[in-house]
Amino acid sequence: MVKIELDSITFRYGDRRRAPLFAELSLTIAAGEWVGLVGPSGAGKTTLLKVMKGLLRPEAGEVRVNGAPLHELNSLAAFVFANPENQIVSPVVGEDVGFALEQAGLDLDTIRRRAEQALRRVGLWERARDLSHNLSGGEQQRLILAGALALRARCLLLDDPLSMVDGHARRDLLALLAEIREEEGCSLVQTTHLLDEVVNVSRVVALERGRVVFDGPPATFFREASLIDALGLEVPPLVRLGEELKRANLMAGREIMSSRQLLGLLGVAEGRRAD
Amino acid sequence: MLKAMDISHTFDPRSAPLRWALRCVTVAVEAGAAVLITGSSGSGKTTLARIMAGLERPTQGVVRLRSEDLYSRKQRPSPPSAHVAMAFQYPERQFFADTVWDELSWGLRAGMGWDEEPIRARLAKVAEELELPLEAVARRSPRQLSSGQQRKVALVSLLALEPQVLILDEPLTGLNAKERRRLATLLRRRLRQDRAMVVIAHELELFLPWATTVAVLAGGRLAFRGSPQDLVTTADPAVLAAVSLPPLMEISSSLKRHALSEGPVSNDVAVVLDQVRRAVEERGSR
Repeated sequence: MVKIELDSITFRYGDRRRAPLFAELSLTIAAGEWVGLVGPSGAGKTTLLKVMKGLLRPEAGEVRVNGAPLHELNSLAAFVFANPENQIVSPVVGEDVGFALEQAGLDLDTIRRRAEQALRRVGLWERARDLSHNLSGGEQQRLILAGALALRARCLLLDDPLSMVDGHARRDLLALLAEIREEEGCSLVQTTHLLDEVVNVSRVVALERGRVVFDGPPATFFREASLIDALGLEVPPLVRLGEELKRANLMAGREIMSSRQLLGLLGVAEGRRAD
Repeated sequence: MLKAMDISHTFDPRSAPLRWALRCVTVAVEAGAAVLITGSSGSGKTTLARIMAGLERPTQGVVRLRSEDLYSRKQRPSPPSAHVAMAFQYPERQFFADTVWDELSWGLRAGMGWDEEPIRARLAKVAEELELPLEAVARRSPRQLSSGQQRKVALVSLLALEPQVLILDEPLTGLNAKERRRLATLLRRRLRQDRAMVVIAHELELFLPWATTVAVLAGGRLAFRGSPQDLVTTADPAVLAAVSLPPLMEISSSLKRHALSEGPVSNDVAVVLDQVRRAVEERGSR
């Protein structure tokens, strides 16, 4: 279980003449939480994740991981960059997943077993022997996620990890994130531009110009219409439909979480594809 | 205007058996039209886009811009910017200059031989349309910008060139909802100026309403080519597996396929709400 505390941190890019991106910002990620970090481009979402990983150091304030001040890299957290190309280190898919495990000094059998398991979970096992650079953008994002899963990190810091992944795979990967949180108690902090990715998170944190402007459950966030608009975001149409269905008392008060679920309730569930 | 005919491509011509990234794919786009290419991750979308942009010689097949074969000559047509321009999935792949200003102005200056004043005017206009704060970022390195701003810089540099054919690989990545809508509107407006466009996207919501043709790739083959209306009403399982419709359209389309709705396949909350209401009533009476 991993808890991350940002205690009154101040951070700026460049010299002191420039305004700080964050001034005395405090935020605690509790163990086992799934936090969706949203806000306009340039609001500081990626920077905040990098501070949590220890890749960037605040000029004032303290970062604590499980109560201990962070002085080096946060070894309990795995980071997934927005651009997977910046993170792929091996020319072969299977080897890339094993790389960090090898660095961690694990034996070959364990590395192979964990790499296979992780690649299967993201639906890339069939591509294990392929060249990493021949993967599509969406597949590369899945590969990086597999690397983080294989490490069995207790905390994942995910920077827009599904931006290039197609709809069906995106749905499966969101379900996978929910699963590792529930089964393994993994803490997740995930940035995104699309609010349909935060429907199932435990907590939404909205940033605007380096300030936290919302902190609460997604259902409450979705009711903040004017704030959502000001942040350049949109309530997912499915959430709006779900609200309308509830208002019309059509689905016996059930929360609508996905189009598949609604179709299932209507008795028209259809298998789309096996993976 | 731009036609890719019977394209097959492999990245490893010596492998046996050959593994085709693309197999016998034909896609064409006319002036004033937009082709939307979609399909799952790894289905060959980006490869096809690169081939159509003149960036990757296909193993087999021909790409013609008007009557000219893009790959017949040893050298690329010059200036490339005036004809076919491609925005990559990763914007930073296209960056080469140290400042945003150099990055944006290079094509107009070096490629088209423009002077400083008209360059300034053109860039200011396009940057404003995409809400890129040009003044604030002009002297910074494009690599230091946030992913959303990088995307905007890449798009502004290409849109400013007004190429005859614009090829966009997942242009919405990194942008938020409002920025996405703004970009889609801007692209749609380009069509009226008789420009051609090829859009690669896995999210279809903002493109289906105005795409002329949709092509669906599955495992490197063309699984579907037709109008957006035909796509959203198709019952072909191979196409349904390769395409992810926006959630409301998926509901609307599914209800129609199961004869629970007679209405149009829609992405509008009120329309789909009504269709669901009727489906509930219909089911109750069955």
